[in-house]
Amino acid sequence: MKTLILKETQASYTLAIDEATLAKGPVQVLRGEHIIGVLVSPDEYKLFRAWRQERDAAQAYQYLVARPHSWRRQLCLKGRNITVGQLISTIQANHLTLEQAADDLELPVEQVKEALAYYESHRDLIETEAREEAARLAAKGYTV
Amino acid sequence: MNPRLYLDECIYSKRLQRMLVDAGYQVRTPAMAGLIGHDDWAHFEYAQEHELVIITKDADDFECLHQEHPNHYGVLAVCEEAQRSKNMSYTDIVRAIENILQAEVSLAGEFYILNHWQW
Repeated sequence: MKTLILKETQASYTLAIDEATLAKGPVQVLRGEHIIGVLVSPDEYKLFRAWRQERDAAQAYQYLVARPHSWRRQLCLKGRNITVGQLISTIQANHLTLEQAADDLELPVEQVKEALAYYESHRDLIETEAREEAARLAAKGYTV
Repeated sequence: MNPRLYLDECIYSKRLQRMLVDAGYQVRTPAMAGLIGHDDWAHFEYAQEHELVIITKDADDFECLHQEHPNHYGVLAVCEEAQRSKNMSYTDIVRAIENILQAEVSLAGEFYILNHWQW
């Protein structure tokens, strides 16, 4: 990570920074030997804010968790590498009841129940992300 | 000879595993590999090391891994549909795997979307 030294010139501070530098990654701001801040590009900050909002939202759930991902924001099953959308598509495609899904995927019934509730309140996000995945694959030349 | 399969964590189910075994496949699971909760790379690397064809629902992420590390034994991805009624059932997945094998296409180093192999 690039580091900048904040220099005190009487009462004002100066920083040599431009958009091209920020586009390459975060820049640490030091006063003396202490890090007093980190500068990021607006796009990176937007992603960070979205991630933080999802993380805060995830704290309301007992069995779901936000996993870091480059573009996906929906929650995952805690302790598993499975998104809520992936679980729901399995349940719907195979016409599973809550209990059948819990048994078949070896999950606590309460976890499946919470995932179903999350799906109901975040259906737009989950369906948007399914379309986003298809669009990303299409952009790479795959027919989806 | 049927290829040996690895059910990625996002697609694993007891029923799907049993249906694939009944259809004549050797199937490894994340629990067998000790990889429950691990990231995509851990599953991909395990399949690569054990010469297994990966079955996954994490299509875009595994396509990226396929591009970065093409010396694998095959990735067969099931895409989630925004229109939920179109999602593939266990029966659809088993049939699509059978169809792709009957077509005798090369799997090693290749990435296929199983949704296109349903008939």
